[in-house]
Amino acid sequence: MAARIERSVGKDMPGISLPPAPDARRRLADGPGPRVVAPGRKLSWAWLGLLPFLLFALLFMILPASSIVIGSFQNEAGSFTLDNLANLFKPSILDSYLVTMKVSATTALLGGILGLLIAYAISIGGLPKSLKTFMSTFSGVASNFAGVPLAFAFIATLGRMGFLTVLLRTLFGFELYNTGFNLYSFWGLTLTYTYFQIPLMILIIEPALEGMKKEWREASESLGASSLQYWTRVGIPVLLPSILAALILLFGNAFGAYATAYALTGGLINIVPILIGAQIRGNVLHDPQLGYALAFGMVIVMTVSILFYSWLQKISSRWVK
Amino acid sequence: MAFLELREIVKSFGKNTVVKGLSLDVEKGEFVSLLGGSGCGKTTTLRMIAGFETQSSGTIRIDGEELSAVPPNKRNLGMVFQNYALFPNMTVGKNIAFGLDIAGKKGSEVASRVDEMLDLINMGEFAQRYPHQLSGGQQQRVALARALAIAPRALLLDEPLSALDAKIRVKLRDEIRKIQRRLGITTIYVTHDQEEALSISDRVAVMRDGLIEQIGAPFEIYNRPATAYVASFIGTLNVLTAKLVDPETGSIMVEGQTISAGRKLEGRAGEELCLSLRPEALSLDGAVTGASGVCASGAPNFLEGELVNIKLLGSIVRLMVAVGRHELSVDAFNDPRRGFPGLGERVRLGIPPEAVILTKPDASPTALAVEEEAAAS
Amino acid sequence: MKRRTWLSWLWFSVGMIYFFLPLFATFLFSLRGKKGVLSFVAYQNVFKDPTFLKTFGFSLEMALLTVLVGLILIVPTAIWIQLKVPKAKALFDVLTLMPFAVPPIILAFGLIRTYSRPPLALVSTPAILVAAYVVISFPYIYRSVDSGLRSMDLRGLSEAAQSLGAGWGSLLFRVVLPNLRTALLSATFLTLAIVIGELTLAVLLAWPAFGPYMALMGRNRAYEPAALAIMSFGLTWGAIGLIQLLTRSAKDKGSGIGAGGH
Repeated sequence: MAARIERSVGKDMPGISLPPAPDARRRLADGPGPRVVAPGRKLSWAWLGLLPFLLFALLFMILPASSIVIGSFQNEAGSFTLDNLANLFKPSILDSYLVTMKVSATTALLGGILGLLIAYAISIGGLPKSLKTFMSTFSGVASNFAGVPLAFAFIATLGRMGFLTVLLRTLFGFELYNTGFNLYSFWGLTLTYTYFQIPLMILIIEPALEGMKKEWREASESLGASSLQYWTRVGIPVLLPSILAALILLFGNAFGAYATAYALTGGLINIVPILIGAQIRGNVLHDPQLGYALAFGMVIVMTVSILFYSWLQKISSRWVK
Repeated sequence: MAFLELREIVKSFGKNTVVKGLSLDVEKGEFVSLLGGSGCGKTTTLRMIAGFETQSSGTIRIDGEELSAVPPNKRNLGMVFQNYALFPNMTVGKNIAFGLDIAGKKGSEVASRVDEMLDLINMGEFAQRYPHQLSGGQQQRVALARALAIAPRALLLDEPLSALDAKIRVKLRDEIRKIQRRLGITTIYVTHDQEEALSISDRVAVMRDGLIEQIGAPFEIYNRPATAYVASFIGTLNVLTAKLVDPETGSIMVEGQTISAGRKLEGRAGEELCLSLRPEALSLDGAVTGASGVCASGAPNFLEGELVNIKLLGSIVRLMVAVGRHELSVDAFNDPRRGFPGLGERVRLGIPPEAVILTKPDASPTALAVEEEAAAS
Repeated sequence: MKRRTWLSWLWFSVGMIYFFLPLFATFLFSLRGKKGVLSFVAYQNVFKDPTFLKTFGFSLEMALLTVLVGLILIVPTAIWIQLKVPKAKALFDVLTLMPFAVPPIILAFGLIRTYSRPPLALVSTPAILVAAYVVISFPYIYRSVDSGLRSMDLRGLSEAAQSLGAGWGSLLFRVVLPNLRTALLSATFLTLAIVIGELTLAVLLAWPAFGPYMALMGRNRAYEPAALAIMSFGLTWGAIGLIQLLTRSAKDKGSGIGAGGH
């Protein structure tokens, strides 16, 4: 609205302040609508102010990212080819994509479900407010506690000499490593990733849970619905877009994770980020163009995830204002 | 026995007692408003009827049935909330059908009932819309239809209009009343807006501090407030302190001037009273130097003061007149044919004896002011 | 409404165990540096190691540069957009959130391919590392700054300041930045916490940073890594705890949502 007034006063009617037009009021009520900016020459000068940021983003983000896309369609000589992408479907590469997806999906689900339940407990589950404050703060920390230190922590917990491994052995005579479990393989990686996935889920989903109006529950009760009917017909459907969006974010978060896997397995697990890392370090694969294709595949997975995520976000933000 | 009966309801949250032994009888088909400032217990009372809160003691009966053991989803009462509370994942039609689906009604029956409800609120073409595509007023109409669809025993509305724009508020309030009359449904309406309560209700219960201070028809509440609180809560009011001069003739003294209440008064001479005068009941007789100094009843009955301000409120002109240490508001119609005295002139305010509202000075002026502020917020 | 509180307690406890068991185990492990007794020997060893100080110092330096460059790039741009080119907001939103779609591993790959040959052979300079760190900090810095800007009426403030005769300089330094203090501090701490322990970019761009140092220790030592993990956790906790404290006291809604850098 400020922009409108500025325009109407600033131009040809100095001193006369008309009440804002009715559509300006509606626009205000509907949230941030398109703002009116003085047209013409001024605009292009204003855009110039964004140049430093745009240049930086272009040089260090967009250019590198697009070099991957371009590179994956080129052979070593620089001419166009689809061979690199075809190589993605080689069994070994396909396998590593599948493993990565499996790890990402499992950690997203595991972390997502646990995170959702904990977020429910601290937001509308009737726990004291101090616990909520503590848990949100802690989640801020734990979601960023990843990479090398996290790997160390899980080695100290679930490694062959780890605290829990030894505890299970001495208390119950249970040999964790006899079950086929290995910290440096699928389940180990999954449990480790889940450590930062749970708090991330809490951080993302808690606002959505807080956005659930208690009146929805009361309205459904006064219309005769039981608690179960409320959750199946209103509660869960309303939350679903937010939950799915969060799960996708968690999936992408695990899919691109390199540091934790690298520190935990020393680069010995067959997941895509590790393969790309090895490709960059130039010590495993002999086909440099394959690196492009691997990275391109990951860019596609991430882009699709993000698009899906923002679409779901749009739905849920419409519902839960 | 009344259709809806509240007996000696007490509700405490921990140490804080919000409702303090409230009793209320509502007849079938009646529209009763609970009116009061924030914290007076009106919403809590409504929520106890709905079953969202359980009273600490006392009984609630509807149609003879004692409700304390009945969970909210078995009470068959329609509820409308301040923030609409439409289910965002369902269309308008699905929202209205919700209660019927839960009750296990047949599809065809549900569909015809939904259509009927949509007609009732004049929103037939909106059945497929989602709540976020509707304006606030439309959402609240849908919420009303949703509550009425289950043919509830009574309709409970919790400040249903306070989130809406002033214009829509007035329009929707008339619509609610029209629908309520047509269906003849017993309705409890919670509001803090006195104009709303007066215009819509069969009876208004003015609540204060967990109790009903006065209950009666809107005219009764407005014209014959039982207490100083009710008098000041309802409408704009000039509150002055007066001294009873002669109970027999009904004459009282205000700021050294004597006026008559025109009736026998209770109390003894010299007693302090609280005198309330509605701005619209006072008439401006013109400058003191002018000819007229006689009010409508024939006998001169006026207060003299100095005109200090004139405010145009649209169809009404509000004049501020200083009488001693009081400043009285006087409302006059904005009649283009008449002029007003200039600022600083001495004027006479004609006071019809019927307009004299006298109450015991039961509340200290400061307490009253605080409560008024609370009501305004 | 208290019918299912015990379930809440159950989920809360499960979370607590998942979060604190590894920390406890790590702490216990870190105390076993000397055979038979619990001691802080592992911590002493870490501090005695000159490489520790060197790599940590290097990472701290990189982190501070990242904060500096990141803030200089984002803060004026965000303010400028809000005041002068609101149309650019959507583009800015997308660009600052893009690092979520381009994980560090991809970024490292792209940077190496783009800048390893002339005329832009930047890979051998620390500038490229700082630039990459700035990119991965975009979302964090932008979110803090954006929520800070949204909690004040920037347009109103700037119009008021200008009507009182303030120029762009005094508007920025005397009006906007002081009001953004909390947001800037949380952006700073979050960036520090993320960059100091960062591994992927440092390892792939081959810099002797703290992250690679920790990874190396993990391969060669037993107890020192645990001590490092505890210290690193303490660092993150300190930084983010401080942010929460700041934002909460400022009654701001900005939170340290984190994703990435793993």
